[in-house]
Amino acid sequence: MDTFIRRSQAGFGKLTTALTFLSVFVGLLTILELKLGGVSYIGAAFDNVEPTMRWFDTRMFGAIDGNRKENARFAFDMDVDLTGLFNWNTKQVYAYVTIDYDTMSTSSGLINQNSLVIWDTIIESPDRANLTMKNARSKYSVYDIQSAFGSLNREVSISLRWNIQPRLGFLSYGVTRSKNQMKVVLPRKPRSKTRSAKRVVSQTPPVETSS
Amino acid sequence: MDELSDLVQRYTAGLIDFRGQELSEKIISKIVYSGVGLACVVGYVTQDFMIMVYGLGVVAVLILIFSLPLPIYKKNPPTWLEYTPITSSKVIIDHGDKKTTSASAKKTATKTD
Repeated sequence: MDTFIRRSQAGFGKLTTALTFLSVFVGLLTILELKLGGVSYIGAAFDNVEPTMRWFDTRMFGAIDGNRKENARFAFDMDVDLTGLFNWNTKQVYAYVTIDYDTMSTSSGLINQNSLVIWDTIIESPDRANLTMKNARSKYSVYDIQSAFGSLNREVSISLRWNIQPRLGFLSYGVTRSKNQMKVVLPRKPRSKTRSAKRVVSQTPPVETSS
Repeated sequence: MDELSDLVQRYTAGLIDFRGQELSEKIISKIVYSGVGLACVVGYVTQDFMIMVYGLGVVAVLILIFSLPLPIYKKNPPTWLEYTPITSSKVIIDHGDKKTTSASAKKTATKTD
């Protein structure tokens, strides 16, 4: 401690220790603040959810080895206020709309909950956290592990989820409560036999077997 | 040249006295712990994360400032004993101490036996 270098070294060593405790404290404080702030009670209102189904036979839409994939796209109205997610330690919020449905695992035969992201956005300031959208289109075309998606008379529920990325601390995830229980039955769309008819003939279309 | 570099090192090292070393450690630890706490509280109250970060930057600057050889660290210069050059050769070459210790060790050994 006799020289300047040693004194400043000791000082910055203490600062590092203090910053370690500070970061843990701020991280826990932020989580506590979010929990007490009623973040899990934020409601999202969905309306006019309209699914559109389409069969694809390109690899970009999940069709592999000639197995056609039924893709779903959505149009929806959404009204949600995510301003409550922003506090002093929020860097940005990733908000994403998912559809949740039960699917049967091909390997074990068990029924699993599956979620697919159809739309997402990054909110960087609380001024833009009020999301009001009319007739918004889903960003992503989604498909199931099975070839048929909507043709199995599948019921999906739509919900908005969020992920807070803090400046310091822990990532936190959550789901908004749906103000109106938004369940949509995907429409049946028979496979068109105009394109790649040879491939389709070898399979049994699920529409014909179920009906 | 060697003496000159020694002189330069001595004046740039920022040497302070022993009381000053104790004082600097106390002051710096108080600055660090209270400064970090204060920065966190102010940042939380103003709900601005960057204020906390700037506060931590101020703490870092204060550490550097209070590590300098300030005059408050130099108030108690140590009083050294006067330098008396040793002239007699008897004192410098003294193997008597070694002999006595070995002899006393031998004595204790015989006693235990």
